[in-house]
Amino acid sequence: MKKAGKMLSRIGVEIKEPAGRELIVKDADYSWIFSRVFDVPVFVENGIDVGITGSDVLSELGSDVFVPLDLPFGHCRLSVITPAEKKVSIDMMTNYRIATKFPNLTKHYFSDMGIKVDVIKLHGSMELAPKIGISDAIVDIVDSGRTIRENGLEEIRKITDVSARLIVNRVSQKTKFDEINDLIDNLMNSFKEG
Amino acid sequence: MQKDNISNSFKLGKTARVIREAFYERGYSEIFLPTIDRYSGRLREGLKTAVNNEFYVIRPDVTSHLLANRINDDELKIFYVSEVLKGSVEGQWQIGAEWIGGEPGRASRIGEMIDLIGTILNKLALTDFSIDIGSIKAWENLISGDFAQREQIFEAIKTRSFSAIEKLSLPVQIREKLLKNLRTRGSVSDDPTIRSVIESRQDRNIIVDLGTIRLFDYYDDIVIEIYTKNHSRAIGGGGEYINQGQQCFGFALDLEALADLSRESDDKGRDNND
Repeated sequence: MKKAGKMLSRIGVEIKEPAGRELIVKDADYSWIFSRVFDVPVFVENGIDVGITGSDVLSELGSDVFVPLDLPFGHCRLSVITPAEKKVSIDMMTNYRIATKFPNLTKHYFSDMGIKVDVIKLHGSMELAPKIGISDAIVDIVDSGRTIRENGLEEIRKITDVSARLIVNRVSQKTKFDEINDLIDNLMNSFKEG
Repeated sequence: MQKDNISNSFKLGKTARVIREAFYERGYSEIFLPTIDRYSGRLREGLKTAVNNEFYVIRPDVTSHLLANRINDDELKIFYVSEVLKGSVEGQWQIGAEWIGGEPGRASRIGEMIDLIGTILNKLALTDFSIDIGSIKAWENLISGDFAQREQIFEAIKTRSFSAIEKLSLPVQIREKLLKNLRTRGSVSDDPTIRSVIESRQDRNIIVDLGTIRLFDYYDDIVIEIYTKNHSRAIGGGGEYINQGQQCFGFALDLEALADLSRESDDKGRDNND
């Protein structure tokens, strides 16, 4: 959120942050909606003009939105992780039970490799799943790797790199063509300036 | 809570009746394709299933379903009302038409079908809509020398990803043209067919937008997308295709979206009269 604010501020757009717990804040030009990252593509697909979310979430949901820009923040990776003491290669994970917030990406990844696994959808605290024995491994976001190390886990394979994306509703792109293109052009120019 | 499929059915039926009238007035005949058909690589969407080791698709995309059948007539003007399953149990009620074969030139065929869409929407009291027209071949011609990256380029165009286009290793001129095409929208086109459609219709609801290319792989060149600012998704789409060497054009409209929009329009009309 801070990085998105800084990025927009550089092109003269200031996010109006909520004073309390409001989820929608309006200023003279825009309505700002603050939601969970997993909900952003759903909102944009269903009528919100523009949003910022992660490439991981977009791939997981398969949302029908335009994705004009890769944004220069939110860099991390989606990886397969196992308990450090039970480290195995991916090829040996047949019939493994895998806990994740990303069931579709996980199923596709293992299915593409011809490995049959059971996937359990969890909404958070992924690191707990192998510790309490409900899964053999997890697929989760890794940034510095500190959280997984502190929980006795080890990253064994990167599935994909992840970063933030600007997304646009398909109809808004047509009905607010100039406004949205200006936003994209201004952002692209600001990225080039560094 | 029990579902209210009956009320929903009345709502769809009322809208479908208005649209059917428009099709019959223009000489289209209604067709009824089977709900389930043997799996074919040509079928798009639908729900894939297996029965006794045979593979089937339930309620596939109707145009692809037609193309998987033998068509004996030299010319067919047909329409359908069907629920299409989108790869799962979730479906969308569509009403659409296909004009297969016959004598008209490409621009006349496309123009007449766009005119038919306008007539349908007007009959439903929907006036605030646009029809975007694009060309798949305009993009293919641009990247004709680069088959290696064709898939990535088309994916970038479909998602309108400026970042992806910037990252592709393309000659500067091609990259600039791709980016320019995505930023171009209006009433002017280099494509003679699109130009002819625009000039013959003189309709300010028709807009040239080359970014309109997300449709099915059977589309050959000209594609259209229909939308209104009162609905968050496209309300229809269509395009040109070739079947057994014959020129064809078809479109499908989202019946549920039209029913909702038409009812909203009726409500507004009533409020204004009160």
